[in-house]
Amino acid sequence: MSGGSTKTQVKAANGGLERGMVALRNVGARRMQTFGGLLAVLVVFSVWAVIDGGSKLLLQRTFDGLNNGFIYSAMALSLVLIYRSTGIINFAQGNMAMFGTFIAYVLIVEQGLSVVAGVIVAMVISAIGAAVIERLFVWPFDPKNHLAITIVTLSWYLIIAALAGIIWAFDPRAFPSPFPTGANDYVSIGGARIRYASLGIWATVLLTLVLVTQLLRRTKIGLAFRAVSSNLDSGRLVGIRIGRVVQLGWALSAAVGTLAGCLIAPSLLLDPNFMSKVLIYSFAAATLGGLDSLGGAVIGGLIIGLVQTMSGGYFKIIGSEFSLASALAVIIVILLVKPSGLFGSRRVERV
Amino acid sequence: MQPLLDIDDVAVRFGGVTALSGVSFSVMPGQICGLIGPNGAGKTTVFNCISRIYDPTSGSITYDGRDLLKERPHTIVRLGIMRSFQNLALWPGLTVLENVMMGAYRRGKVGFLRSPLWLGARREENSLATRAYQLLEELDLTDIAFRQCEGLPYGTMKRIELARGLAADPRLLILDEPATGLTHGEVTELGDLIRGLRDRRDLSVLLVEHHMGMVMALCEHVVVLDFGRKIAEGKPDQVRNDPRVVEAYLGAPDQFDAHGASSATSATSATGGTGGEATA
Amino acid sequence: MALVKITQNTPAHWAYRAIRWAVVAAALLYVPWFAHQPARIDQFTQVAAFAVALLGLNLVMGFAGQISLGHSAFVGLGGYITVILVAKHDWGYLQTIPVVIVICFIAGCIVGLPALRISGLYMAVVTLAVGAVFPIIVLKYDGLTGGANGVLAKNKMLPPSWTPFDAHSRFGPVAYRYLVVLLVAVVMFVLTHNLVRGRIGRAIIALRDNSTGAAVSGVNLGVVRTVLFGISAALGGVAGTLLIIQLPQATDGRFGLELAIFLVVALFAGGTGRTSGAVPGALIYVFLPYYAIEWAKHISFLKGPGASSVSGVIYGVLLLIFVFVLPGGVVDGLRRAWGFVFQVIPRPMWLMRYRGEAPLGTTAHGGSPPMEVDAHAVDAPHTPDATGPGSVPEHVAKADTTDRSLSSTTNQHPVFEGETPR
Repeated sequence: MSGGSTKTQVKAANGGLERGMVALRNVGARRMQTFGGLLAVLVVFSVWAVIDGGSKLLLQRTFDGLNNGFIYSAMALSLVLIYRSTGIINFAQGNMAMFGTFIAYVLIVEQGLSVVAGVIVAMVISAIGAAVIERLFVWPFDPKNHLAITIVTLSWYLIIAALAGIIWAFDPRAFPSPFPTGANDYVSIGGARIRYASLGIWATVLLTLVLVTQLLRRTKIGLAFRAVSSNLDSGRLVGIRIGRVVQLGWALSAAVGTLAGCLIAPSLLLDPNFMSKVLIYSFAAATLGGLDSLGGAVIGGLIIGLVQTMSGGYFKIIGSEFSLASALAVIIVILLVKPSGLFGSRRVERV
Repeated sequence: MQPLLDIDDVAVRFGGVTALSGVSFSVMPGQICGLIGPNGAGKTTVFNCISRIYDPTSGSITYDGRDLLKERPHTIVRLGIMRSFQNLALWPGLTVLENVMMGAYRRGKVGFLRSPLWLGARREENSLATRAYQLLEELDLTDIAFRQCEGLPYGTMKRIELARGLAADPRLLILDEPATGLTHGEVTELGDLIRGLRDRRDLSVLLVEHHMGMVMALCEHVVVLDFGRKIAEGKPDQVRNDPRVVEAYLGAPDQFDAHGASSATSATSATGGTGGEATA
Repeated sequence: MALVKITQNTPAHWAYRAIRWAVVAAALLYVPWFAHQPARIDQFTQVAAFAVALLGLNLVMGFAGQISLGHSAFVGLGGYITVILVAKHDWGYLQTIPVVIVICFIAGCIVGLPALRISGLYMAVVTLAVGAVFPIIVLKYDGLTGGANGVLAKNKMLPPSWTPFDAHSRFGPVAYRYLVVLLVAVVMFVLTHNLVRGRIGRAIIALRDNSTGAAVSGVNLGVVRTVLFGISAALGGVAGTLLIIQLPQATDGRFGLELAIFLVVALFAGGTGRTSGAVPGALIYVFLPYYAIEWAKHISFLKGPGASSVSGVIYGVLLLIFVFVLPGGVVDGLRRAWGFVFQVIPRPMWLMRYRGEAPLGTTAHGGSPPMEVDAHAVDAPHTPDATGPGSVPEHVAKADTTDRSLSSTTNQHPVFEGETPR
């Protein structure tokens, strides 16, 4: 009798495990479907685009789109980090990145640091700044009071933008690129050019993604971070110091944001508003990817970048100034089909 | 007699997790039916299927000869089904009276067009409010009628939810753990109250409750779930003595020996995922 | 608690209400005389217009609890419709309002449609998208909207000859426009207030506080959310019309994303979840940057080109202060302060009728006077004082001792679960 009961339970446990695996496989299958769908769209579009303008033009536009896309990816990554730790969208993210970029500018142009060192120091400074903001202005709130925290980020959006305006005024400034930007610094693929600076940006963003995911996957605090972002209450119950984890999310996010700002600043000019448009595209990218998925943020960023470039390039009716609208239209359509983004986790509502 | 609510072979799976499998039972008109089972047995899942918050993976739910699965959460109240919630679903931004008035939302007619112009709204508001106030009287809640319902004692909020449920004039009232947070004496009174309400109206009650005393005293029919599967059904006395029910609640007799602790743990951890195997 | 307790539907209560409304009306009408420059009257016209915009935003954000960052688009849509119809088709300003309401309502419903499936922050991004795209659309269709130059209506709204306003004086047209805008705003306030105090209003708050509970009670969440978005947009559009009446020029910059964000700030400062919150919100929105810039002129280190940014810092800090200290906004603070002085004890008409009370309440059974200065309230706030004939006692003042005969039915049952905190 005793043995029988235990056996039943072991069997039960195995059954649970098996079902868990099936569930995982189902999730995988759904991802594959999503990928497949995207790929199909991509193939159909490419064939049409090659017929329309030739392969060289398509390649060039793809590279341009990826260039923007990787910047959006980096910003989206920073948005996702805060979303996962605090459960909100940080509307101040763009301005935090802008401020960080200005710090890097001061360090490099006025203090004479090398570009790479300046960017890294600026990343550290903005991480500390974000951690302080989190501790003083976000931590006092109940973590579930999302509306209040969102309003806090809106206030910082205003304060940071205004401070930058007061300190640095609104004249656009040139920001040095950390990568070679000479006229001949490019590789040629199929007649299309990729500049070294672009390659540098792509590599930096991918490296950042890998570093962040590894940090979250391999370290103890990363484990705590993932636990908190999937279930706050359980995280607290098992003794995770949530404050530390949330602060880490903000610090990481600010560092990544500053990096994104420094990457795009050379191609735009630096002024207190220079991140606002980028931020909107990154919101789109993060939403598209599903707000809580790091990889989704990167893929979302690339899609937004490509849609923006292609729609501006190939569809004369849309035109370049309308590309923002088309990118946003794409998100709305995708959200209607998949309400929590392409790779976001769907939460089952418990009542 | 045709059952009012008929649940036939309902299964619910979330991804690979089986919350319910092959559950069938029915509620007769005028009956008070109890749904019991250990934590995680799937009782609330049954409720969520009836109130259309979840879609069953398979099976059918029929209410009064109608396919309930074709309905949406906001349409079932029109058919006369109203429910309460385990963790309360009251609205802190509204007063107690307004909470109860919301239960009769479907009985109001003044919508987006007439409301801004206040056409016919006064008359409707007055009748809804008067009716809600009567219910508050019936449940002895008039003292707090004009208070926001935030910060009231748990048991009071449970009663407000009951009043809201009654305001919808339901034929089937579904109560999710109505006695939680009540003292022993209050539980007895709640039982009397529910029976009284049933006797006075054309009402059937389906309730989930952990308070066995109340279930056994109140219900005419009891359904027992364990691991998402129905393990027993019948009159309270039959169910109480059913060995499978005893085992589900207390564990197998031999579980309390040396290895008991570990196997009990594994049983708990597998609760959500194992479906029926454990008892099969 | 309160110094003075007034029972609802007694002469004292009617007097209290009449005086309150008279004070409000007098203050609103006095503005054109109290302001000594036309520019100042103009600012109050803006306040009235922005109050309508905030009213609409409040429906979505305060009542339905949904962050909307695209309200500027609807204000802009309304503004452009009005200015185009007036400048190019010779319409009267006020005639455009029905058109604006219909078009903005439809546009709002379309934007709100995703809310059927998308929720929370995803929806916030959708609205942000709308707010960001609107200026781009305006620039794109420059044939209609004048592109970057905008549209200017040369014929300003002038007072007709039958009004006492002199169309050729400095003050006449400005004061006239103020009163017209005020009138429209008051109508919008009344309509919105009626909407939120009735059955639909309860449904809206219910879906904010607990949407599952609302659905189970029969609220069609999708329809309510979508239509609410439409109404909010229509109010935004009317606000746009009113802004055009104040200054008949529409440009993309006037209705950009900045406006949407500042409207959110103003709403939170004014107070969410109450229709009256729109008024202090609009006052803050109009006057804060004005005085901030005046003030910044006197501060030496702010004299640079960034001085205009000072109001941004002040806005941000103000918003932080509100979120921390007074989450309900100015209106909530005022109400609390007011609550220390006056308290209205609810006794609605239907309740009196239900209990068979005489409508006047005082003479029928000669109870305690309807309005009394509660002398104990100051030292012993929890004294179970008689609160007036037949009124519903608050939770602190337990039973109505003076008037057993009328309310006896309510308090006879044994206390079912007790008031003991658990």
